[in-house]
Amino acid sequence: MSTRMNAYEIQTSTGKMQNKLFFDKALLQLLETIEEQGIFTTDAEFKIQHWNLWLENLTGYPAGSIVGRSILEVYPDLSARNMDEYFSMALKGQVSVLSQRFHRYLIPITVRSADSQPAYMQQCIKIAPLSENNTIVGTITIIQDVTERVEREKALVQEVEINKAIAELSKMLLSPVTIDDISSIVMHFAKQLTSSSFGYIGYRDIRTGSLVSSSPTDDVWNICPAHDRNTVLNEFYSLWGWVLERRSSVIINKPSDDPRETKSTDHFIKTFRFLASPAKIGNELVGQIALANSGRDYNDQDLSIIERLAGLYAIAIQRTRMEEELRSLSLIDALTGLYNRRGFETLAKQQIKTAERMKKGLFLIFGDLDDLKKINDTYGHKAGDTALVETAKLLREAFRESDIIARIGGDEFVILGIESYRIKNNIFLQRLNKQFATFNEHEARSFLLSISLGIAEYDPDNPCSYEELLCRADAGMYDVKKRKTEHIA
Amino acid sequence: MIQSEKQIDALTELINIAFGKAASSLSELTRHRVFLETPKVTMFPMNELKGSLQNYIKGDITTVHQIFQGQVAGDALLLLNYEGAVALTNLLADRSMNENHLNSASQEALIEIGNILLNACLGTFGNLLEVQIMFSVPRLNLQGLTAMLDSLTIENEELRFALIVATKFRLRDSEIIGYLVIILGVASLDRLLRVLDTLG
Repeated sequence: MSTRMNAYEIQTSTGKMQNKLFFDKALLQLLETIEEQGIFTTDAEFKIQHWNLWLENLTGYPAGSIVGRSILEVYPDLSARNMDEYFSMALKGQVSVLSQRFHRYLIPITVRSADSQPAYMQQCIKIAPLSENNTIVGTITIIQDVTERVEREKALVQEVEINKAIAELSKMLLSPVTIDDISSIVMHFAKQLTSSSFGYIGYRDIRTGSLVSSSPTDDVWNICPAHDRNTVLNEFYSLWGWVLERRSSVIINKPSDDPRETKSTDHFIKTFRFLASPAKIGNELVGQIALANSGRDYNDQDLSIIERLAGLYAIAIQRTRMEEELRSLSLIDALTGLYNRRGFETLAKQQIKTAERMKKGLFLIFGDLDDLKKINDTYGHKAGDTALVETAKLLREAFRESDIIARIGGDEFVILGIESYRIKNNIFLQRLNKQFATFNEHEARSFLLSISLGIAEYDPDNPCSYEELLCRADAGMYDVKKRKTEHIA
Repeated sequence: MIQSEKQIDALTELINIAFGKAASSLSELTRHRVFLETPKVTMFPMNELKGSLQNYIKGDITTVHQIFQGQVAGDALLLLNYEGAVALTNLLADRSMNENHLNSASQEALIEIGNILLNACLGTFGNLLEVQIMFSVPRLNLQGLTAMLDSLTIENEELRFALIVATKFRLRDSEIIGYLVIILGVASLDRLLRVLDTLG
């Protein structure tokens, strides 16, 4: 509640009769001494009778020049905005409260707002009947300046919005969300919180070092002809480059301050105002957020918002990088649960060394799933994935737990058995063929599974490297595959 | 004082007309369509008011209070529960974010809304009764029901009656229930009922 006295409160605190709440002429002398709000009265023809000091100072109309003139004539736009109705209602005994939210102001008074721009004073207005001996003789209007308060409340609301956005983003950082999704959400908040119509966000690809724009916003996308990603990139190229060179945030509110003016190129989007911040981890530049063309000037608060967002974005980028790194460190193939190339290599090399020392034999089988491309093309990638998973299952069933089974490429499987192949002869291959045959027979599949295998044997008396062994098995598989194709042809 | 069905019907119709006006000025102001459902009118002796209102409104209460004077005098109140008041001002605010409290700007907006509804309602009464009614500046109270009602009855010399008009506001698909309460002295009520009888 406002601590300012208003006329209403004066009356209740001076008069003991609570029901006598109406303004009468006796009060005017007291009201005129109040300096914090504007008070004027009119007669029944809306001719100004009293015009207090506050109004004199702020409107520039001395009381002497304005008393006797109709308020509707001094401010003709009152009628244009239907404000005259409220004065008429007052003559009928009704009180009107005009809040800032719906009416902004009654009398236009220019004040300086928080960002030093001239603006209309935000007003809360009360228009009431003025009575004398219980008869309405005119109107009284009380104007309260609420500009500062409105701005404070707006700032508060914005602070809450920012905190909500930051909280939501922070929550996302804890959940498995892709960098593209995070990019588009960061962009969404950045645009919303700075009232920008254009925005652009990107992260640095660790392999190529170049900035990847993960999600041009729809408006940027739509404005560029033929939705060409290169155009989109060019569109912001000099802006990007500039902020990247500086490695610090940039605010531009006047195009003349824009250093790109000199190296101007054809742009689809004319940039009036521009705000950007690099996303950094330590001193390393990992990404960037850029915004353009807010309806108002960008200010320090916008800068702090975008810097906070850039900070969170940097964390998101870092997390994505760590996830990728972890994936590359993994030994297991996520799809089939078999070892991946890395896992296989580590174990196989170890086994080969052991075999050499223990003078034991090994065999390596290289398998290539037939027609995976055809399955993918015909039935979709989901079917292709199923084929791979089923193959892995069949391999696991055919071989022993002590054998190392891996998927080392798209459709390439390898099995390393710790035993001389010759001893067991063809038993594994027979078992595997049988498994495949049973599978193809029983399951109602639209495609058949078949695998081409090549076998290489490790002789402890004649040792060879892991690479050589793999190469021999691969060559064997290739021969088989070639024969199959020729056979079909 | 017991009212006849006919009197209540006439009163309901009268208030219905008044509310139609209120709804149109509210929607003009807020640029949203405002629906006010047909109000339900009931009448209680003052001392039963609290009990009956407690049935309607749970929790914190927000009141816009206007005193009116003239040949017909009394208190006019717009009652909303706090959540309803917050929801109403959120709906009328041109922004995406919803707040969970009434800030100063929302409070003023709420006073204006109350002022419009009460003016429309009492203005119609005044026109009908052909007497001039003068209004006080509306005040917003964010206090409990008891404290608010006590503030009305301190100087209660004559027996007073409360006319409760229960309505639902609907703005932008949301439903907010509000109550208009008009408290009249016996003399004023008498005058009102007599006029209603002549209309009937």
